[in-house]
Amino acid sequence: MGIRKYIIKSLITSIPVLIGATFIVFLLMYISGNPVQVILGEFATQEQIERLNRELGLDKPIIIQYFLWLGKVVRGDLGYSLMSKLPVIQLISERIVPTLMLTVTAFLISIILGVLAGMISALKHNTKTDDLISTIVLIFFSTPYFWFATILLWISAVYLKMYSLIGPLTIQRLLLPSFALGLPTSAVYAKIMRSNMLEVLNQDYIRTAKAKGLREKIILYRHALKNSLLPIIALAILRIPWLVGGAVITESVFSWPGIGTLMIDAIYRRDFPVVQGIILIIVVLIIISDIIGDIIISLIDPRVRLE
Amino acid sequence: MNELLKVRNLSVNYIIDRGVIRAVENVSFAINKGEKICLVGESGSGKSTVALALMKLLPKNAIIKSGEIIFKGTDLLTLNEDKMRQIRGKEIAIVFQNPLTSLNPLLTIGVQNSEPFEEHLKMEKKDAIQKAINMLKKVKLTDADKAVYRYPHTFSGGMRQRILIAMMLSLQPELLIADEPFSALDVSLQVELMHLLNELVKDFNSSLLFITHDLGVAAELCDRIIVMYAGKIVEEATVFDLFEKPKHPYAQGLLQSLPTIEKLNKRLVTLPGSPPSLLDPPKGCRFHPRCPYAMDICKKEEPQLIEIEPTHKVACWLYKSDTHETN
Amino acid sequence: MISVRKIFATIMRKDITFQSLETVNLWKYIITQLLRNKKGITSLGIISVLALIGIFAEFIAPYPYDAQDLQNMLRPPSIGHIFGTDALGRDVLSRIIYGARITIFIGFAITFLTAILGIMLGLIAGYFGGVIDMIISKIIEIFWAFPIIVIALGLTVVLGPGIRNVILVLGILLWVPFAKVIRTKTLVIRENSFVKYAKAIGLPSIKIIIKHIFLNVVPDIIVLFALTIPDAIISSAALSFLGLGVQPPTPEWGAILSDGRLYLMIAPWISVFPGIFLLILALSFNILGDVLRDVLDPFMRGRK
Repeated sequence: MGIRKYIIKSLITSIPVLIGATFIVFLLMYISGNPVQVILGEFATQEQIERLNRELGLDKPIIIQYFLWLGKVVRGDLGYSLMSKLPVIQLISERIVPTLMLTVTAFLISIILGVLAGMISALKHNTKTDDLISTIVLIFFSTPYFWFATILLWISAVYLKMYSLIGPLTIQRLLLPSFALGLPTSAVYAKIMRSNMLEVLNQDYIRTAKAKGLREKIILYRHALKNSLLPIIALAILRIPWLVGGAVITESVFSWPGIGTLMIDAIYRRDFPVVQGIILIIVVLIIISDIIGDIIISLIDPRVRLE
Repeated sequence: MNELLKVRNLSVNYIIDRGVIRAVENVSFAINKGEKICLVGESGSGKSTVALALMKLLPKNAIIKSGEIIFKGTDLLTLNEDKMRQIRGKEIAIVFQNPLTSLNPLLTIGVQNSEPFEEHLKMEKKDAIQKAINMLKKVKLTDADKAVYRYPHTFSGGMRQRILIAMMLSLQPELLIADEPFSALDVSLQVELMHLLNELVKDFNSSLLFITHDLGVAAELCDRIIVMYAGKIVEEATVFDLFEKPKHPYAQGLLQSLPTIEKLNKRLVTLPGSPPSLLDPPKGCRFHPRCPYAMDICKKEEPQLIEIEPTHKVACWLYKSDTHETN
Repeated sequence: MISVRKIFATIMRKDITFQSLETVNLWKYIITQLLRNKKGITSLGIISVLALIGIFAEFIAPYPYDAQDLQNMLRPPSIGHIFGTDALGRDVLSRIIYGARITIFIGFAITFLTAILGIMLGLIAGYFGGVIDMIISKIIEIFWAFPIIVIALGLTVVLGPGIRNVILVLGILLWVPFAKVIRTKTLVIRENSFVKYAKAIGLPSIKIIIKHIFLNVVPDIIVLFALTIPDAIISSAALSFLGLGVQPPTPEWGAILSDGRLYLMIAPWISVFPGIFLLILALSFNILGDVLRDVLDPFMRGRK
C-alpha cells in the first residue's frame, strides 16, 4: 500500500480512538467540577452563576457539550486559562519551544550514550568492561530522576557555582537539565541496545558473514549494528509524545519555562482548560507518531509492508 | 602433493555449566585435491563441530583441546585470526544448514553476495556486483540480474540456499564444506541442488567435505565416506566398500536400517538404544553399550582407527590391522 | 490406532497433576535458587531489611516522624540526628524510617493493582483475539506512548491528592508490561498444544483453559512484578515530589525529598538521603527482578 494511502487509512481508523480518548479527557475535566464557582469566586450571586453557566454552555447535556468542545478543538480553540484568561493554545505554543529544546537535547544525549554503552557492553560480553558498564547502567536505571536532577542542581550550584535557574535559555543553561534528564534515560536504551546486539551477534547471518572472511569492522557496522538499531529506532519514534510531556519534573527542578512547568502550575491552580489542552495535544501526538513510526519502519525494514 | 587437508588428532570440547562435553575426540582424516568426502553421522556425532573447527568458527564456549588441521601445508590452528580470516571464504568455504536464517534480512542479495569479491579481491562495488550476478546465474537462480536488488525474505528456502552456495563458491575455494545444506529442504529440491553442487565443485576443481546424516545422499554424491559416532570416527571407506562390506557394527546397523524395496513388509530395523551423553561418555569404545558384538575389551579400551585394507579403516576391536596402523 | 481422546486425557491428566505440584514447588525452587545466587541474596536481603525497618519503625526510629523541634531546624547531620533535621526540626532519619513503610506499601499496592489489571486485559486480548484484541492492543499502544507523569498529573487534578488516589492513578497507568507479556503468551498457548485438541473434541471448561494458561504465565508474572515495583515506587515518589501524592506530614520518601527542595543550598541532607534510599530500594528490586528472570528462564521458554 502506498504511503499516502496508508496515512489516509490510518487517520480514518484512528478516528474512533481519537474520539474515545478525547471523550475520556473531556469527561475527566467535566466531572472534576464546575469551573464557574472558581471563576466567579465566593461571593457570586445565584444569578451570576446561572448566567455564566449558560454562557459557557455548561447547562447542556454532556454529549452536546462534548461535541461543542470538540468542534472548538478542531478549530484550534482549546479554551481559555481560568487564571490568566489567555487562550490555552497560546500558552502552549509559547512554551513548547523551550520544552523541545530540553527534551530533544536530552533525547539525543540518551540515545547516543545509551547506544554506545549498550554496544560496547555487548561486544565485550562476559568481560570486566561489560560488568562495569552494566552495573553503571543498572544504577542509572534505578535512579529516581527527580532526585538525580535535584542533586545535580545542588552540586552545580554549590560546587561549580553554576546557577541554572534564571536568565535566558542559553546553551549553557541547557546543559545541566538535559543531562539530568538524558542520563537516567540513557540507561533504558543501553539495556535494550545491549540485549539486541547480543541477540544479533548470535544470529546465523553473522556466522555467514564471518564465514565469508569479512573484517570485524564490516561485520559490526554493516551487519550487526543495523539489525540491532532497528528496534531502537522503532522505540524512539514512539517517544515523540514524551518529547512534549516527559520533562515535567526536570523543568520543575530547573525552573525551565516549558510545558512541564505550565502543567504543574495549572494543576496547582486547578486550571482545567490548560491541563485538558496539554493532555489533548499529547493524545493527538501519540496517534500521529504511531502512524509516522509505522511508515518509517516500513522504509527501513524491507520485511515490513504497510497494510 | 595431492593432499589438500590433513586433520590429525583433532579434539574439541564444549564447556557448559554442567561440565565438559567431549564433542570430538581424536579425529583424523585427510582430503585430497578434487575429492568428495562425506562425513556421516547422527545428530550429536560431532560432524558439525568438525566442520566449524576446520573454519575456526567454533562458538565461544568451545575449546580445541588438541590436534592439527594442516591445510596446504599450514596448520590452521597456529594461524592468528587475521590470517585465518583471509583464508575463510577464499580458500575454504562453508555452506550451513539453515538458509532461512543465514542471510541478513536487512541487506540486499547484491550487497551480501558481492562482499567476498570486495573483501578478498578488493574489487569495486560495481564489478563485485557483476561477479555476484554471474555466480547467481551459475547456480541457476532465475532472473539473477534483478535478484541482486531484492531482499532475502522474498526468496524461498531453496532459492536462498542457491544464493548461499553462490556466495560461498564466489572465489572458487579449494575446499568447500557443506554442513547438511539440503536437510531443511524438499526432497526433490535436495536432489536438484545436490546435482548442482556436484557440477559446481567439479567445474571449480574444489574438494568437497559434505556432512549429512543421510546415507542415500552420501552414496550419490561422494567418493569416500567417513562415519562418525559419538565424537569419534568409527569407519572410513570408499562408497562402494562401505555399502558392500561395512565393518563397524554401527555402520552395519546404519546400512541395515536403510529402507529399500526389498525390505517392504518387514519391520524397520533400528539400532537399539541411543547415542551416549558426551558429558560422560562410556569407557572404552563409545559404541559398546549398543553393540551386538561387544566384548570385554570394548568396555575397557578405546579401539584405534586402523587400516584393514587400503582405503578402508575401522575403529573396532573386532578387527586387527592387516597392514600398519594409521596415526 | 491411538484415539484422540486418549491423547487428550493423558495430557489433561498430566496438566492437572502439574498444577498442584507446581505452585508449591515453584516457590521452593525460586527461594533455593535465589539464595544460591550472590546478587539474589544481596537484593533480597536489602529489601527485607528495608521492609523490616518499615514494619518496626516505632521501635527503630529515634524520634516520631512528626515531632517538631523548632529550636533545631535545619541542623546538619550530627550525633543526635544522624541525617540532620528538616525545616520543622523533625529528624530526617526517623522520617526516612517511617517512610520506608509507606513507600514500600504504596509500591506493592500499585503493583498489585497494575498486575491484576494488566493480566486480565492481556488474557482477554490473547484468548479472544479478533476485534477485542485489536481494541485492547490499540489501548496498550496508546498507554505505552503516553508520558506517565502527564496523565498521572492530569488525573490528580480530577481526583485530588492523597495516598489512595496515588495508588489508584498509578495502578491504572503501569499495567502495560503485564498486558503485553500475558497477551503474547496467551496467543502462543492458544495456538499450541491441547487447546487445539480441546477444540477438536469439544471445548472443556473455561476454568481449565485459564488455569492452564495461567500456569504457563506465572513465572513471567513473578518477574514482571519484581520489575514493576521500582517503577511504581519511583513514580509515586515523583508525584509526592510535586506535592500531588501523599500529603504532609506523611513521610513518604518522595515527599521528604520535596520538602528539602526549598532548602537545597543550606540543608541538602533533607533531599539527598531519601533519594539514596529510593535508589537502593529500586536498585535492589531491579537486581532481584533480573535474578528472578535468570532463575525462571527455563520455565518461561516453552515448558512441557
